[in-house]
Formats: sequence, C-alpha cells, structure tokens
Amino acid sequence: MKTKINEFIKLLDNEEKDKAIMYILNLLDSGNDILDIYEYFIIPALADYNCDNDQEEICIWKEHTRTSIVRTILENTYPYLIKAKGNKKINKSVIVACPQEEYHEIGAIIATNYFYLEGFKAKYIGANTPSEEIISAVKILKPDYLALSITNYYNLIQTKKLINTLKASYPNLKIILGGQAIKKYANKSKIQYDLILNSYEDIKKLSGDLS
Amino acid sequence: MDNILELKNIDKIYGVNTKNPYQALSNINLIFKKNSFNSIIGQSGSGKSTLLNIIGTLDSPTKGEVIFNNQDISKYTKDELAIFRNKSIGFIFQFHYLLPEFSAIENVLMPYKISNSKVNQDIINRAHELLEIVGLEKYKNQLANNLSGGQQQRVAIARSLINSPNIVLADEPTGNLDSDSTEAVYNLLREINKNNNTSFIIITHDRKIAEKTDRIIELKDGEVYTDIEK
Ligand code: B12
Ligand SMILES: Nc1ncnc2c1ncn2[C@@H]1O[C@H](COP(=O)(O)OP(=O)(O)OP(=O)(O)O)[C@@H](O)[C@H]1O
Ligand SMILES: [Mg+2]
Repeated sequence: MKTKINEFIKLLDNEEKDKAIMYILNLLDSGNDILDIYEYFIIPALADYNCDNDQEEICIWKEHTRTSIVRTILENTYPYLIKAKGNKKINKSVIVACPQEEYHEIGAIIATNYFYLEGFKAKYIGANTPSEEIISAVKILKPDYLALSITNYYNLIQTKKLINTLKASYPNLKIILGGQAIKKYANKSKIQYDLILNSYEDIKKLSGDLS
Repeated sequence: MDNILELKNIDKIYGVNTKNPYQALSNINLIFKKNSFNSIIGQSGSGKSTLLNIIGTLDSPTKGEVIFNNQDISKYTKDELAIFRNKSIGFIFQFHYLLPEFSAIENVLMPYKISNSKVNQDIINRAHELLEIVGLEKYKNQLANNLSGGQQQRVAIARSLINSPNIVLADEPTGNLDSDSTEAVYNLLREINKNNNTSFIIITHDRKIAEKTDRIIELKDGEVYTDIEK
C-alpha cells in the first residue's frame, strides 16, 4: 500500500492529471476498498499537502491545480460508491453545506459521500452557501440533520449566527459540525451544535446508533 | 508569552450622572500578548471604538482596570498619561486626521515633536524610512490635503510608528480603501508586527483583514461574544 500511495502522490506532485485519475480508477477496478481509497489516497493528497515553493503566488495556483485533479478523481469514484453502498438504508436525512464565504468544500463532499455510504439520505448543497439559502433548504427539505463544514476560522462568526437563527425556528433540527476550524476552535468560539463529527468512523458510529 | 495589555472587569457607562445613562461596555476581560496581531469586529454600535479609546487611554472606564506592561495606568495623572500614551501607543484612526496644511513628513514627525522639543537628524531619518516603508518617499513634501485617501492612510500609519510604540491601535484602518490598497495596508501592518515586534489591535469591518489576524474578538452589545485565537 505504502508504495502505491507514494506513486500516486508523485503523480500529483508532477501534476500528471490523466495518470493520477487512471491510477485510482485502476485500483478501484481491481477491487480495492473505496474507503481505503478515500482514507489513504484522496484525503491525504490535499490534507497533507505542503507547497515546497517559497513564492506564495506559485503555491496558490499549484494548490488550485492539485485541488482540481483531486476533485475530478473524487467525482469519478461515485459509481463505485453506489456499488459499495448496496441497499444499506436508514431513515434519516442530512443536508451538507459549506456556509457563506467558505470555499473549502472537498471535506464537505467527502462527508456527504460517507453519509450516503452509511445509508443516509444525503444532499450536498454547495460551497459558499448564503445563510438564507441554507435556511430555505432546511425549511423546504426538513432534514433531520444539517451538517456544516468549516475550514476558515473567520467563518465561525457567521455560522454561529446562522445556527442561532436555525435553532430558534427549527428546534428539532440537529446540527452537525465538521472541518478544520471546528476541530481547532469549536469550543473557543462557543458555537452551538449537537454533534461534532470528523471522520468516517464518526459517521458510521452515528449511523449505528440510529439503526 | 508575556502580556502587553490586560483589561479587567471593564464597564463603560456614558452619561453616568444624566437621565439617560448608556452602558456601552459590560464586564470586558481580555488579555493581549506581546507581539500579537488582533482584530476586533462587531456590528455598528457594539462598542468597538469605545473599547479602543479606553485601551488607548483617550477615555477612561467607568469601572475596571487597564494594565499595560504590568502597570495599572488607571492611577496615572493626566500628564503622566499623556506622556505614556505618546510614547507607547500608536494610533491609526478611520478618518486619518492628518493636519491638512502640513506636509506628509511633517505629519509623520508630529507625535515626536509633541514629546520632544527638538527634532534631530536621527528622527528625520526615521521619518524618511517610515515613509519609504509605506511607499510614499516621493510624496514626503506634498501637503496632506493634496494626497489621495489611501496615501493619507499610509501617512497615518507611518505617523503611528514614529515613536516606536509597543502597540498600535487602529480603528478601521482600511475603512475607505479599495481592495488592493486594503491588501497593501494589511501587508504593511503585518510586516511591522513581524519586524519590530509591535502588537496590533485592529478594529475592522473587513473580513479580508479579520480572517488574516491571529485572533478575532467579536463584540456584541458591549460584551465579548466570540474570542477565537489561532
Ligand atoms: C484545497 C485548498 C483550497 C482550495 C479549496 C478548493 C475547494 N473547492 O474545496 C482553494 C484554492 C479554493 C483554497 C482557498 C483558500 N485557502 Co485553502 N487550502 C486548501 C488545502 C490545500 C486543502 C484543503 C482540503 O481540501 N483538504 C482535504 C479535506 C478532505 O480535508 P478537510 O477539509 O479537513 O476534511 C476532512 C475532515 O476535516 C472532515 N470534515 C470536513 N468537513 C466536514 C464536515 C462534516 C459534516 C464531517 C462529518 C466531516 C468533515 O472530513 C474530511 C475527511 O477527513 C488546505 C491545506 C491543508 N493542509 O489542509 C488549505 C487551507 C485550508 N487554506 C487556507 C487558506 C488561508 C485559504 C485562503 C484564505 C487563501 C489561500 N491561501 O488561498 C483561501 C480562502 C477561501 C475561503 N474563503 O474559503 C489555510 C487555512 C488557514 C486557516 N486557519 O484559516 C490552509 C490550511 C492552508 C494553510 N496552511 O495556510 N484553499
Ligand atoms: N460620547 C458618547 N456618549 C454617549 N453615548 C455614546 C458615546 N460614544 C458612543 N456612544 C454609544 O455607545 C455605543 C457604542 O459606540 P461605539 O462608537 O463604541 O460603537 P462601534 O462599535 O465603534 O460602532 P461603529 O462600527 O459604528 O464605529 C453606541 O450605542 C453609541 O451610541
Ligand atoms: Mg467605531
């Protein structure tokens, strides 16, 4: 596994888009577990990424290039996700979103896929979703859970207000929070929530508790 | 890390002995570390400027203590306070308050002139250097009146640094600037923070600034509502 991971990361470092995509699809076709692909290949590809160039502007577009390759890979895993899920089903719905001004969405998409895999009715409604639109989605879709992903710590401020508003109008809605800013600053920010989840294991446990 | 500033149980009531007293700050407790880079955000009227004025000793709290470098300055006399303020604190106001009839460099030198009768060559060199840092050495002899808003703002930044203060207090330093100039002002403040170990407390409505600071303090109705440090 270790060599495979290194080979894949090397393709990304060299920005070999086609090869990197085919590398993962081949692994999936030859029967590798989709969760392993997420946990050992896709997530670390971005989460452990450090730009080794000291020119900031170069780092920014390199980060964008890498994100775009990883994103394509992520979208292409979906048919395998459908297969892996089989007919697992629990009777709970979740809306996943990144709040206003939050553009980091790979974590949110992965979380949505994990909810899906665990049998939730899961819907991802987007990055940088204005508060009114999140409120509207909650109003119309009436989900059991709203899961928000926050990476940039400034966005805790806005999200705190959003959650206060939602909790006042929809007391039964359960709020799930995840993402890097939540890991580090949820307590300090005194943001309201019902659950903090960070990983597939966390989501699996929730699904187990529910079924 | 050492602290530069400590606010203990600060209340501010405007018009205490009037019919309509107004409590602008309630029980503020905050500690700021040396060399730190902080922002204060919050809705209009939440008490940001009131707090900054108290920190800057331009106004005094109704209750509570302001401790600078472990000294309780609430006990200073008016004169002691003026000397302390001039030496230790740099101010950048939203409306930069340059003296319009004076040149850029004269404005930069003003806080020094207030505390020192004579301007020597060293301090003139320092003023040139500061104008160079803010990218305005070409405009040093231009009257403040004839500078653009962004240029005046940069002169105000240079002026806030002339006495090498321990801390700079900035109230909406990018309030009237376009996003490029905002970025430039941010970079400038950050550089000074790194190179001179100057602490900053910046009131801002601009998320581009706030998200880059190391600590965000949000005031709501005169109280600390959120306080997150990276
Ligand atoms: C990719 C990336 C971007 C992309 C995002 C593209 C996209 N469509 O998502 C782009 C280029 C847009 C971007 C922009 C910026 N970025 Co950026 N970015 C990254 C990078 C490299 C990877 C983030 C990522 O996708 N990680 C992979 C995912 C899978 O990990 P994750 O988000 O943590 O998610 C996992 C868990 O947290 C969890 N999870 C996450 N959300 C949720 C939600 C739920 C419900 C659950 C259950 C679980 C869960 O599950 C995931 C799987 O384990 C990081 C660096 C890093 N090392 O993280 C910087 C980073 C996050 N960015 C950063 C910054 C500063 C920015 C910018 C402000 C400026 C810049 N330098 O470009 C802008 C801001 C945009 C904005 N306002 O939001 C900083 C953040 C620092 C901070 N404290 O705020 C980082 C850490 C880089 C750094 N070291 O400075 N960025
Ligand atoms: N001198 C004063 N006398 C009476 N009330 C005052 C005085 N100065 C401020 N206030 C009141 O105190 C409250 C806080 O004012 P402050 O100027 O601190 O707000 P702010 O957060 O800086 O707002 P803004 O973002 O609009 O600058 C306001 O309700 C204001 O009306
Ligand atoms: Mg104000």
